[in-house]
Amino acid sequence: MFISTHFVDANLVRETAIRVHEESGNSLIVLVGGELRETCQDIVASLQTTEIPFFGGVFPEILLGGEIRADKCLVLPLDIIGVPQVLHAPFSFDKVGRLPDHGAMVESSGRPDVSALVFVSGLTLDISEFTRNLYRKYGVKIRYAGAGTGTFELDPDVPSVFCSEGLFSNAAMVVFIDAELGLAARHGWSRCAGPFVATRTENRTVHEINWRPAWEVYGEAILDLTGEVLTLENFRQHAGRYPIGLSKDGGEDLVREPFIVDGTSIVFSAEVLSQSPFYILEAKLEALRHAATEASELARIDEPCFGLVFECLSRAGYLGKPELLDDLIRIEQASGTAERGVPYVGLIALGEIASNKRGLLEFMNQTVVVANIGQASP
Amino acid sequence: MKSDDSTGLLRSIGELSQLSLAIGTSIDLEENCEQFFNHLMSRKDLSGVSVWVCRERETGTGYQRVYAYPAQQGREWLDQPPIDVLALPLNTLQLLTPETIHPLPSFIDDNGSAVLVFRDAEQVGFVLLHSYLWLSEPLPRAEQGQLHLLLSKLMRSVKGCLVHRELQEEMEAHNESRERERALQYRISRMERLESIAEIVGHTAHDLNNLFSPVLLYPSMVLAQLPDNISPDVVKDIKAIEASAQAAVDILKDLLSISRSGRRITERVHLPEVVDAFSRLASFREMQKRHPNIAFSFDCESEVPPITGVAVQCTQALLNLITNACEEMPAGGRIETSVRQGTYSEAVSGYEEIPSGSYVILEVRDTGPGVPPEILDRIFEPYVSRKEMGRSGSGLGLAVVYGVVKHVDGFVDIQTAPGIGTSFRLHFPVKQEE
Repeated sequence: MFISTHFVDANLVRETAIRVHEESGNSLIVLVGGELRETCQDIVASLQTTEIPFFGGVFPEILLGGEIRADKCLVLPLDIIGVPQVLHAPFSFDKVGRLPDHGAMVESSGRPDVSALVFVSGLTLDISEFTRNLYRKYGVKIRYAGAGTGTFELDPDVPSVFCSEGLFSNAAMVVFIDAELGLAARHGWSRCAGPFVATRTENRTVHEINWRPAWEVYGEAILDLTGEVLTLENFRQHAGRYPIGLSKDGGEDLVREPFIVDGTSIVFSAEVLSQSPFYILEAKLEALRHAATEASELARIDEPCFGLVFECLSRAGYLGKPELLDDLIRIEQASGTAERGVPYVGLIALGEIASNKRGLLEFMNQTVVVANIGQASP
Repeated sequence: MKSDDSTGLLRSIGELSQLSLAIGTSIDLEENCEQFFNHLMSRKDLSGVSVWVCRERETGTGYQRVYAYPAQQGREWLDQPPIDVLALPLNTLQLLTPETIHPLPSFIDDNGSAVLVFRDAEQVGFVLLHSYLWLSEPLPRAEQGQLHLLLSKLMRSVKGCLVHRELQEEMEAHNESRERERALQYRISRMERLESIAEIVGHTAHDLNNLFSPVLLYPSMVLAQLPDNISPDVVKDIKAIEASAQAAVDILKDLLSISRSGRRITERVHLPEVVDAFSRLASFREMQKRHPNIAFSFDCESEVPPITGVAVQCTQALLNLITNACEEMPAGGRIETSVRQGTYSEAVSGYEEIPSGSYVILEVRDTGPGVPPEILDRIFEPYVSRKEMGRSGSGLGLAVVYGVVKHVDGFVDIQTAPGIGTSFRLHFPVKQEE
């Protein structure tokens, strides 16, 4: 399969898309850097004139071959089953339930093992409802890999999901792929305080922790951990270093990052269920490095064509750019394909999605997801 | 961080509290289960759950799946769960693995998946929890105890939801039956109203018809006896009397049609032939000329059985319906006339309650503005519409249609939608040949 392993400028996306399509015969996945948010509509319009099936998303930054770019694009070939399915929020089951049935996809692809790439506007309020209903529809019958799209500006209304139908905001896109998918997700954060209970919540907003205002309790914990008083000014800095972990039996805690302060409430990066026990987490650099390596090892498949690595925005912020590039190198090395030159593309994401036919599909944060895309059906 | 023991205990208490509080948050069965399993599945990393209740609690048979997440979970057990589950003692929590369960449902695979089954003490039903964790790591005793407690509580709340649902269904059935009764009563009173109107109209028309006979006959006799030198104005006046008398008698004929009085006719009428003959009538051609923007079409099944009625009355009814439709669409549109056979295995509630049986249905459908709700109820009463309609142009057209249908024990139905159009369906009963 021909893979273009170079960043391209926005004005060259169409030309590159035609070339990649001619050489591979595949549909295309187009990844757009966050600084191109204003020109994304033009990119999509130019691709629409080619009649080549395509889909993609806008991500704050893209990593490839030792470079991190927010002002460039990547065009990759990918065989898909049917057409990309676009859903607009709110994501009720009435809507999600109308996606193609698993049996129909198996029949049309001849592949018993169907997987899906899932891109969703990363700041849409309804993401948990979306993942819940997507799992309600397919359960463990398919593998899911994907991420929240968007830009550093964290504007929920920026259109960041697109396909041949157009460019959309507050939307989710499910693309069933006709290729093997090796998948794993890890974060490496560990518990440093707790347990606490989120005693009053409303979707992403935690009003009370331990029956007291959330801001007070989180602030006390930060004071205990760092010796610093939590203020609105230093909130972002501490929030990135001390997210919370919703405890989960038999696996890593589910990470939620404090996102913004609303009075005495704290809005998190994704839904926190009412009465959830949780811990405050901290990162140890070595553990984060190990998480990436472990995810890469677990995601191994025999003959990957390329790898997508979804790195959470806040994890990327914590690691910093040099360490982030090293993370990608570690993943490449642990994949067992380094000598074959399989390209790995890193995407800074606003939340991650992964489920490997073993359990519930949930929206994650502070996590690295490694998705190895294999050969299409013969 | 506190010591491992104390944090473990605190976490367990926290989890128990969270999961316990998620039970019984709604009296709706689906919502209640959803709330609880949202929390439980996330916490325990389950891959699927389903809840089954016993339809016959006294005999402990007939299980039905009332909740499943994801939607397919346990679908193959929908009609009859495996004997292994039903054989488990009540009030137990038991792990079933590919080695212990027969037959193996598709959602349990050999790749490390197992199902935890809970049967409640009161025989409400059972819960299946599916996970990929339990085969590799046995479920700790404390966690088993916690789950047992939670699932017992859940099944009690499920029982409450079921009772609520049964009550709700009973109430809905009761309300539905009352609603049906009310609608039936309403139709009967409407029919009675039309009957009494028809009776009054019939008597009056009959008497007036007798009185008008000389008024209609004498002008021609008087004209024949008049001397040749009589003033033309006098002749003109007498002819005016004759013309008015003829118009009055036409109206009286319509009124007599409405009244359905007189002898019952048992002529065999083949409605497709009536429609075919109508489409070739000069009066229909005239109508087409008057309404060039209306497209007329006729579609009749040729195999329909004959009905018992009066062909000329059926033609009259058809003419009135089509004339009425034309006047509803001054800017143009479509009028489709069809004849088909319809058989109802049970009574159909439409404008009237149409009993089960076989009918030949004459339908006239237009694309006009529809009948306003305030008119619909009284549409077959005389003079409800002031538009010119029917042969007489007297506001009796649809009343005549109703009379013609009732004359042969038929039924009418109307489907109408604002801006879309109206369809009149005349149901003529097909009677067994003697």
